[in-house]
Amino acid sequence: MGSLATYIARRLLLIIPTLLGVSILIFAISMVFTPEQRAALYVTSPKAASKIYQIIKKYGLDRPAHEQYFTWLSNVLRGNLGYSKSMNIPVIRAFTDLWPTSVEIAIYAAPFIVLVGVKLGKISAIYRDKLPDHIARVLAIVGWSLPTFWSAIILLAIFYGWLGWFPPGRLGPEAQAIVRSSEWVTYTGLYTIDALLNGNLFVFIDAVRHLFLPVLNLVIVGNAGIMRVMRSSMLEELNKEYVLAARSKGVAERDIINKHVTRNALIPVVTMAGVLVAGLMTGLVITETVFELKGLGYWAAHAAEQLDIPSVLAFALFTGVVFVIANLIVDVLYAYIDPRVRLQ
Amino acid sequence: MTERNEGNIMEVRDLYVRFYTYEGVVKAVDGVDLDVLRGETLGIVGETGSGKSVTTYAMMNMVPPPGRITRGRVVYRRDGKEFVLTEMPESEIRKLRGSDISRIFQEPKAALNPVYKVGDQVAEAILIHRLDEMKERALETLKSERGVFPSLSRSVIDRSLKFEGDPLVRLLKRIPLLRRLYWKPIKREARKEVVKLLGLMGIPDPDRVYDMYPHELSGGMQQRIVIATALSCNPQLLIADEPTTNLDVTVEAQILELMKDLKKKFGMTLLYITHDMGVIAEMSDRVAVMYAGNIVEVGDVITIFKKPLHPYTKGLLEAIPMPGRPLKDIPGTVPNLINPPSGCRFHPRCEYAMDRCKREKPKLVEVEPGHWVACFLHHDQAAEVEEG
Ligand SMILES: Nc1ncnc2c1ncn2[C@@H]1O[C@H](COP(=O)(O)OP(=O)(O)OP(=O)(O)O)[C@@H](O)[C@H]1O
Ligand code: SF4
Ligand SMILES: [Mg+2]
Repeated sequence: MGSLATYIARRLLLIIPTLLGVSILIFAISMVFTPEQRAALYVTSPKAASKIYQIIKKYGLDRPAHEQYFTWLSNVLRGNLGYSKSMNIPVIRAFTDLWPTSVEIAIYAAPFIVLVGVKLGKISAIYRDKLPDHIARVLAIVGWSLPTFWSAIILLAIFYGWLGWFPPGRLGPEAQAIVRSSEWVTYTGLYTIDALLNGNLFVFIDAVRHLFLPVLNLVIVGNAGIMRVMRSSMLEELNKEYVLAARSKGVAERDIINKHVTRNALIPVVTMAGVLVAGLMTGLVITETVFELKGLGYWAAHAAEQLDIPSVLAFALFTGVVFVIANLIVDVLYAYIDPRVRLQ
Repeated sequence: MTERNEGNIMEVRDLYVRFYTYEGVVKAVDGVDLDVLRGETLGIVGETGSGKSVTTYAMMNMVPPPGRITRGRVVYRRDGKEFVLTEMPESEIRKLRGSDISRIFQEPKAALNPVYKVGDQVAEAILIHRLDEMKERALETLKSERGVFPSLSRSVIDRSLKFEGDPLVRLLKRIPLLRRLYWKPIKREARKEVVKLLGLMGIPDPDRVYDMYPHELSGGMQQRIVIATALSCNPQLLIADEPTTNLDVTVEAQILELMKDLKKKFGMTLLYITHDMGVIAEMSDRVAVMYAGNIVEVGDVITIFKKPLHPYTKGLLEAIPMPGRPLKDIPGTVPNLINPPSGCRFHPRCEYAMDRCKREKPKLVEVEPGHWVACFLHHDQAAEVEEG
């Protein structure tokens, strides 16, 4: 395990230059805009917007690029990301308000997508070309080819329109009233978790009811990728000689699959899951729109529409950072699963 | 006094194995009869693709898919008991695999799971077949330990020994952390056993090697791990499938020496597969020659080398590189077993082929005591032996 620790340490060090690279890239993109447009990055309130030229002077927006980069970076690090005209609040506030919505969907959807995909892939590989394989593959293909908005609307039509079980939005009116009341303490912005921390079961159940459909929809449309990678990697592993070797030792078939094959087969799945989770964390335009959830995806779409430059840049920066971190986690998981990785 | 079990440890009768592939049905093993005598080293030779591996997979009833045994019987004998592997349920066969009959592989690197410590891979077999023994030892060790956890462990392990399906133990084994009460002392004993075994394989510093991963070891060391696994439960019959093919010459010599040594120590029967006639001469008491899914000649090693009868055996011997003699390869190649040649499968490559050879398949017959050949050139001789 010692070598795993050193591997993680090395990998963590590597993250600093990567993040710098990301920030330089984003900054370079921002230089495409005129100083007047970029001034919005340093505005903190609607009032300040009228003093554009003062801002240009103050932040040196007409100075050489490297000077500007450091001004910009130190502002970013202090949380000054400018003013979002699409949301009418400072960008940093928009983040803290909207991100929890996306995170809440992501932390419930991701495990289910991965678990369902892995399980289906496993069944499919074990029963290759038999009925369970066919069923699993049909399910995956159907889910994969469904447009996200379409399956979302169908789900809403059935479970909300017809049965009335799972409404859109984040909370019902009563729960919202509770959340807005002064007794409510916001710890994370995730209603399910805050409800438990506040000891309020009603809000918890209400939040889960609202999360159910978007999460279900994401599992339906999202598991196919994982399933296919898992299936083919299981099939490949099942053909390896160590499987025969384990069998010749007298290992039961169930243990061969669960202990020997699965761990090896998961290696390529980890990459895929990493990309998937990072994507969920940075918001989902369609899901958030159809289910009336105001998250990052919803905001990003609006910001782009209205040429809200500070928001778009902040969003790009954020996406970059999330993917860098996801990549780090994937690499650490790799090393955990596969000891051969730790050497490199 | 002759012992009751002096006869065959394994009998293969009329064995057929087919692989159902997209290209067609591969007739990989086609009517093989073979006896393995208790205590001997039987060598199996033949060019690549002749069915050596598949035959021995059938001996453990573990032909990999898409292959299947389509006909025949495999019988394993121990202590006067008969185990018909081709008719036993999988769960019963599993008890024999790795304990009574075990196997060493051609490529040790591929035979080891890359993501687990090598020591744990050896211990796995021990924890399957010698679990009760490890539990007894764990109880013994725990006796001298004071404290709450050792005494808890002791009572759990004790319960599981008295009644295998004990519901309390089964529940406990499912609970994370708590299940360590049960497994930890048992695994500690297995580890001791593995370390001892690795030492016996000539692995230096076995306690450290236990915690290493396959990719951290050399080919020779990897093969020693595989051999240790195969020997961990005192097998009666060890099948060694070209265990030295991918090792360099000095390591090969070491492994061969080790195998001979271990055979003596463990008193087991050895089935040694190779396509190297030199290794056959060095290792075996008897030899079976395979060609394209058939056994074409069987005899003791001296007979096979001094007076081979089958044209294919003769060809193999002439192909051994020797100083002062031109190298003579057998012309042609091993046939495609989806559409194997009719009659004698060797006829397209045989310089003595007759008309009859294309139509009929020669049976394996005993031409002199203990010397069997499947070739029409020698069937008259067989008839004479029978009459005389
Ligand atoms: N998984 C498989 N699928 C299809 N055919 C197979 C499979 N395994 C073996 N065969 C076929 O069975 C025949 C015998 O193969 P086998 O592996 O027993 O040969 P071998 O004598 O062990 O050769 P080698 O010296 O190369 O190990 C070959 O014709 C091979 O093509
Ligand atoms: S049976 Fe015929 S073809 Fe086959 S080995 Fe003998 S002589 Fe050659
Ligand atoms: Mg082989």
